[in-house]
Amino acid sequence: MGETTIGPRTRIEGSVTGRDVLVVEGEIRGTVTMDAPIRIEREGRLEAEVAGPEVAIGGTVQGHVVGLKKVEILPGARMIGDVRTPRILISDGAVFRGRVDMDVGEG
Amino acid sequence: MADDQGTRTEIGPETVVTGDVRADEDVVVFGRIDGTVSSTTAVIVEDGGRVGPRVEAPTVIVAGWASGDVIGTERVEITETGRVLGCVYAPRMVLLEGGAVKGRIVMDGSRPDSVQASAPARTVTARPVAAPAGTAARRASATATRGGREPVSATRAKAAAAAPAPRAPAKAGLLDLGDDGESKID
Repeated sequence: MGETTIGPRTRIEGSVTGRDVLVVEGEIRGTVTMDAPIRIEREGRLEAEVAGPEVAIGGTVQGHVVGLKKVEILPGARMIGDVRTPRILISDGAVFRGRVDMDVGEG
Repeated sequence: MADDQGTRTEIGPETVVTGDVRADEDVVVFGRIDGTVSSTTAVIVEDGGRVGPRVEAPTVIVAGWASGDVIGTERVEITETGRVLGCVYAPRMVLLEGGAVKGRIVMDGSRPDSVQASAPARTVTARPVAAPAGTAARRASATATRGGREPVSATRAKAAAAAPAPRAPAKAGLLDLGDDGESKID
């Protein structure tokens, strides 16, 4: 498992998929689907459907986020959209607007 | 880290990007980009990396596979492991021994949209030639460092510091571009 870094002065329109750890310091519009952890740094901007085993959001995300194991919304993050994950962590100082679906049983 | 602020984009070996990539920093590709890549500094396609159908930057270095238009507004370098299936547009170009191009090389300053598509495609393979004295040391150092499978992007940063070494043995004959066309990524 390697690492993919989208630099702060890079913009991607389209899809990013794969088995590398993904670190986003720049901008992605489209879809992001990884089989390894995804980390959106403070300066990172995503307008995308995001899916991965673990998603850590420290920057700006607009879209639907699926974390198969965990989603973390870190201090300084700005998350607008819905999150589906079994475990979520929202830090003090994070901005989050959207729904959370944690598959809570309704019985 | 070729640019002043030391930032860059790196596409890992098991990553596929489909679409447009635009950067104001170096883009180093170990994986694959299906679409267009442009940078205001450099695009480096490492051995094992694949890009196409369009790459554009002041400097483009191909050590992997590039298909389509390869546009280096200042220069294009195709290393010993580099393969280009398409057209190379560059005012200055280096094709190292072992590197291969199937397509056209356009060095008159024209751009893809202004070139007629009627010229027949030819396979050009780098062969041993007596290199001018000025390039010999640089070429030898590049060969030496890359012998250890160090990424071109790393070699590039310290090419000036590397010591000269014996050159790699010459490869003979035409290279089969077709076999390299297979993707290493599932």
